[in-house]
Amino acid sequence: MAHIGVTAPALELAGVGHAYRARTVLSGIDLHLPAGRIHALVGPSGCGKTTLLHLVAGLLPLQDGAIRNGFARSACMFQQPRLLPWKSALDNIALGLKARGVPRAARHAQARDQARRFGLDDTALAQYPQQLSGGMQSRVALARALVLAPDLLLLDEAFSALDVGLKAELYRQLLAEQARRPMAVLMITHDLMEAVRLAHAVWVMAPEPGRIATGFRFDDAPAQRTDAQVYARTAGLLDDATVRACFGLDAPAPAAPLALAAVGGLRC
Amino acid sequence: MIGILRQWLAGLPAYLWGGWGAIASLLLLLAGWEFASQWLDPLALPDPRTVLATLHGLLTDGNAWSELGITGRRALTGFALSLGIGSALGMLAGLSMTASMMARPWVTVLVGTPPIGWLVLAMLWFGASDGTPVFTVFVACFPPIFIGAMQGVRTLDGQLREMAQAFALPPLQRLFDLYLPHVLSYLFPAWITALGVSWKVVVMAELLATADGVGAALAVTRSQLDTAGTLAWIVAVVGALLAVEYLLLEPVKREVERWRTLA
Amino acid sequence: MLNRLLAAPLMLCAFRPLFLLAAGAAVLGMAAWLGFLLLGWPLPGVPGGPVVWHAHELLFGFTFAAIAGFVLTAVPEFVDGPAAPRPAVLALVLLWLGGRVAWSASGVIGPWPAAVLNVAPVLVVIALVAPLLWRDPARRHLSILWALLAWLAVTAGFYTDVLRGEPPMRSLHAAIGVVMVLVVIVMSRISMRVVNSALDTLGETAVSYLARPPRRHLAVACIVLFTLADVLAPGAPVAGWLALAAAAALFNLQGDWHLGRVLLRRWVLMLYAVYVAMALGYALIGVAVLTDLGSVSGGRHLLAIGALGLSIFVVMNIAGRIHTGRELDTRRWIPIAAGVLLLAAVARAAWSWWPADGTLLWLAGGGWGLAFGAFIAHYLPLYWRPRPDGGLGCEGVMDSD
Repeated sequence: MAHIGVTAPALELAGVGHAYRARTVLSGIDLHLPAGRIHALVGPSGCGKTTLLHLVAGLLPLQDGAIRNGFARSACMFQQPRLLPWKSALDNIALGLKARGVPRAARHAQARDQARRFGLDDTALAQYPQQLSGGMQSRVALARALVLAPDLLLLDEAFSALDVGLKAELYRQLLAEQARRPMAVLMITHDLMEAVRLAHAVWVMAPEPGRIATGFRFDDAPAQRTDAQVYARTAGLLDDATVRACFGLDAPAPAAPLALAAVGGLRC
Repeated sequence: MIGILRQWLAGLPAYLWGGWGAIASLLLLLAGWEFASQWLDPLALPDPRTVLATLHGLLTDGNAWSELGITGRRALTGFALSLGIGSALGMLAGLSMTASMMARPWVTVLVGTPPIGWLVLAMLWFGASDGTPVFTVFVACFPPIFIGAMQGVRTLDGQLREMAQAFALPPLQRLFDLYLPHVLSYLFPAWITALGVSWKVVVMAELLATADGVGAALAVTRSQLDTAGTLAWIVAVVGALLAVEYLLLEPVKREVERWRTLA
Repeated sequence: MLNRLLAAPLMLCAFRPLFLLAAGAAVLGMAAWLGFLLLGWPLPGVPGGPVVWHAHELLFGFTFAAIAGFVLTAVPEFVDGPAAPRPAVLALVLLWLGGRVAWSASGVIGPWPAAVLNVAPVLVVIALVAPLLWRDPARRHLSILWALLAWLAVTAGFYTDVLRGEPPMRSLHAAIGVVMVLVVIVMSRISMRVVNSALDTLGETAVSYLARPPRRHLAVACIVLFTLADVLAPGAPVAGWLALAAAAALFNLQGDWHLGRVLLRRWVLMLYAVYVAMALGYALIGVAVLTDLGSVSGGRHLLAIGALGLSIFVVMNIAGRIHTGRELDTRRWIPIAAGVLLLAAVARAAWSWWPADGTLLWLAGGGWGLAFGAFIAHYLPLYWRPRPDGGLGCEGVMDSD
């Protein structure tokens, strides 16, 4: 791929650690996320992945190590839609643009364009978040992030509370946006299958203290992956002894472990 | 801004038309009053038409307007002072955990002290001047407004604050798009409660402490055993309160909180 | 002979004979009344005198026939039950006709036959629809049964007064109240369809019409309270306040209808006008009781002509047409007739202020007669012939969903 070169911007984490009071929640995290790639951090609850994302987003002050964010623009989507209840869907989508000082007419036009791609019509855009279904709210939240045309998109368990149909739709929207321009995505999730479906690289985190235990690469384009492939790779990951240990699953590996490499996964 | 104004004006006829429901229930109340007055001595409870005729007489000879004006001035002055100072202090207290912890017992003291106690103190401090009713109204209105403002700031959603930070909202946008809409949704109900309190307290203060205003007029009707006159003044005060609340505060509140009611 | 009569198209469904008889009673009853007032024609001598004759015929004659025709057609449709059997409908028609004759002859033959022949048809209607209303699993339309029982009470109350030799007018006033309640209940059902289908026609999808129960309940409660006060202590100030409360509650009810230009569609506007006339009628009564302005009689006639007459006219044009298997009539005579009825209501109310002005009476009675005469002219041919779609009963337009 042409846009991945030495000069392309990237997100670099070196030796990042974090402690709340006396408890160390993250230690020695190294990560290299180049433009145009999707990296997933998976791990059990409490492994510090949300803390890591907050550090990257600048929501927490950095204590140890270094974060070099070479991307000009980043945007966030959280597990909850986190929309402003007193603003219409349109104004919610345009919120980040307003923060950037985009004039009203221009930001509404951009927000409307983005919303249309998400199947949000003018009626939905005029409504307040409470009037929208949960699925619509999630669409608005993703549109609010993507309308900023971020170089780096941070997803904090963004899809975990949604039903399968809606998940599939938002995956499509995300990958379509990513196909349009070289956007880097750092997503954290506890859903292995979601990571395997969307990511070029899956980093598995172990708890206490949070650290990256192992990682896998999938070099094919996420949009091309079939359900069968995703199931096979997920099963392969779940057969891995390190992964099982990270999630606290007992009895590693059945008699004949599936070869992850055979279904396109390479250990990093 | 023009859009909001247009929406507000477009919603106004429907809002005013909705007043018919309130009018119907008030008329039922009058029917109940009329019914009760048939069984009672007119000295105890005159019928509503007599009272309304008395009120009409008071209004046409001009006295009532000036007394209502005086009372209204005192109530609104006290209310406005409370609104400004209570909202500001409450929001400040809400910003700091320490301050809200400290403020709670003070508010309990304020709430617990009977208004009549404040009134006696005010009479000692301010004598028969306007200061007495205004101060009493101020003290009585202060606690609900202060608590509303403090709660509003304290309950601000941490998740939304985080979102605002992640989307790098500049301070002014944060104030107008995040803090104020949320705090207002707590402040408005508190303001409306306090407005009701102000009208009740001002009449009580005037009754005991001043020579003019509706309260003083009530003192006169009481001494003359004029039940119809007393009820006429009560109707006037309640009518003024209803008018201010439903024609002024309620429409503004509806517009500010439209996002809440449409769910 | 009897079998041939029962098989006639006129007996296909209860509304056919009953709506025609209602309209006939409206025209003849008004003609006799106008003749009495303006031309000095004699009226049958009845207990209570000419005014009682007039009110009795337009309420227990005209109004009851229309109510019976509507209820026997609509209730089976509301609860998905069987239509009234034809012999029962025929018996009802004969009892009703007997009631007309017996009442007008009551000055000669005494009030007992009239009492029996006017109460019996109400019992027949209740016996026919009560099981359907009661058996409906959710009992959604039980309020119609309560209204019919109230109608039975005012009919029985009227004849109790007559037989005891007391002035019976108060029961006739109460009957107007019962009809007003029934109109509010029934219109909430009809308007949901009429207004929303008008919205569909206009292509307005953003709003939909909902007859909100709380507003309706408040209006019904106010009307019931006024009606009770009007019977127990007519002219007392309590009744005045309650009439004003009813007026305000009815204006409140109109708030449901303020959905933009759909209000100007003909069926919507006509139903809305019923509420306007009803609200103004109660307002006029309330003001008249409490002050020396207004006119109680004028208010009652706004209710009787503007609200009762117009609502019956509109409902007969809706239910009385779609249940013959035809779409609603789009011709212009209907809105014109409705306008004439409203004009008649205003003219009659105005006559209370200018009783010397006979023109107002001619306008009022003439407008009433024209509207219901036009109904007979347009519907007699429809009711006399079989359904064009081959339907054999009360069912609505066959191909509609």
